[in-house]
Amino acid sequence: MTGGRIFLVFLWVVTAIAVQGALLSRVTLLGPRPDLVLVVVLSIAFYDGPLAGAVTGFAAGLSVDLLSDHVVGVGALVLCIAGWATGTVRDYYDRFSATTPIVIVGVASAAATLLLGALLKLLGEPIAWSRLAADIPRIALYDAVLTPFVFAAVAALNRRVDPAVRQW
Amino acid sequence: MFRDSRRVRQLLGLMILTSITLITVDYRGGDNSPFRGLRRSAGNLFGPVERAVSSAVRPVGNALSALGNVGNADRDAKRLRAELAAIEGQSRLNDNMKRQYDDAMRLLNLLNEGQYRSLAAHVIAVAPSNFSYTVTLDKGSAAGVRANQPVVNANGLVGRVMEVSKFNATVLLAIDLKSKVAGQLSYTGQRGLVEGNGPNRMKFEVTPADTTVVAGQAVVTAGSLFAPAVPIGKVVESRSAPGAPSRTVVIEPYVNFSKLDLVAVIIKQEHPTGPDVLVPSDAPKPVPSSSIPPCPTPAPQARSSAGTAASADPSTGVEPTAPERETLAEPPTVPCLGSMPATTAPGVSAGLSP
Repeated sequence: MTGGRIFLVFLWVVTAIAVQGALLSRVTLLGPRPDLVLVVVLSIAFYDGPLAGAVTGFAAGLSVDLLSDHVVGVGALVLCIAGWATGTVRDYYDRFSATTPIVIVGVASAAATLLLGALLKLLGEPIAWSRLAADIPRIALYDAVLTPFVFAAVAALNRRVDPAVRQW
Repeated sequence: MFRDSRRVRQLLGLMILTSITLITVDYRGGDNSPFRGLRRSAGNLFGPVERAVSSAVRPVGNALSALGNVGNADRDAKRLRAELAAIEGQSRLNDNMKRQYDDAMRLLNLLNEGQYRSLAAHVIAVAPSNFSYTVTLDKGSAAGVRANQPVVNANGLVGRVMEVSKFNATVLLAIDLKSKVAGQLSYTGQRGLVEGNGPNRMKFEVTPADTTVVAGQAVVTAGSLFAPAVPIGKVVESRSAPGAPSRTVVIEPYVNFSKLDLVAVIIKQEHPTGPDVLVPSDAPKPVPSSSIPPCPTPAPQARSSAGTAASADPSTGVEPTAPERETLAEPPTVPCLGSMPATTAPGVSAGLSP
């Protein structure tokens, strides 16, 4: 990972958090919202492997924690694990179809949201299991829909900045 | 080199441990958590970025949220037409009631004008998490925003300020699961706690359990934090489990939390706002002792008139207690003016004797 790439990843995460807060959360405040930050973290894990995924997830999750009102560290933990897991799973694949990342992001979103909800519930947030059960499929679906756009944008910028980065 | 799985595992373990440490420290710290300052800095850091993105995408966001509501438009139009008809009839009644209310308020001087001022602010961001309901405003401590100040919009209560940085403030929305606001029923004044329930309707716990609650009735804020009665929502249904000490009322908020844009922060100017407390509505107001003029000897007239009033007591039952209580509620002026008892006492006794 070159310095330019690290800066690019940083820029991606900041943009994702800003767009998430200013645009996506506004669309459907009532009910679940797509989790753009998670999708961006997973896209980076996909291109740069488990380590980059874990580090980016940790940093992005910590930022989201500090900008939300829940306990600091929960988002960092969940996104870190999600980034690492996605990068690891990706390494087991040799060939991809166009739908592979969509499926992986969908599954990872559902798992990450479940983990996040369960951890917050454990820490005393009054979250109902029934609400989690209703929200998780929708969040996973939203994130899966976002995936092709986010991945295409990341790939386009990658090619411009760092042609050596692996492609799929 | 980055694909070395051993190193990856070590770093992953390190980050997981760090997260768990952060969670523990923040959780145990509660309100005194060492991360409060860090949260504020994060707000300062992201504030300008969010402001820029927000102003760039506001039209897009509005269009998208309008798109989300398009299915409800027809149903809404029908419902609104019916509501308008009902409201037109109601408004004639309300004009009269409003005049009476204004007169009463002026008379009682309860609403100290100039004590509150409102500060307009825009919502520039919503919490980037699916599990918290907070918004970021484009005004901060530099504009006079402080923690715990109530935030309203044209329709009613939005929430209260939770965290303030220099140019931004975070508002805990009234629908957040952690939000608890003292509320009261608009007609009867029965008090209770309004709790947020996320995307679902709010809950209003009112005691006692046999309180009469009518659907459509308004619930407004009560207590010292929100001095003017800010509308919160209207009653949808109410239920109480047999033997339960309180009644759970489901209320529909007046504010459309999915379309928050322009809001107002209510700034109390003279006294610092404290946490909201439940005070019974008929509790006597504390009177500062220094403001009561010394009242050495009551005029003989007053004593004799009080005597006649007392002698009229048995014939009329317990009626006189009410006027007595009212004079007690305003002790400094009435008994000590000298001329007042002479004018009021005959009126009282005349009113009592059949």
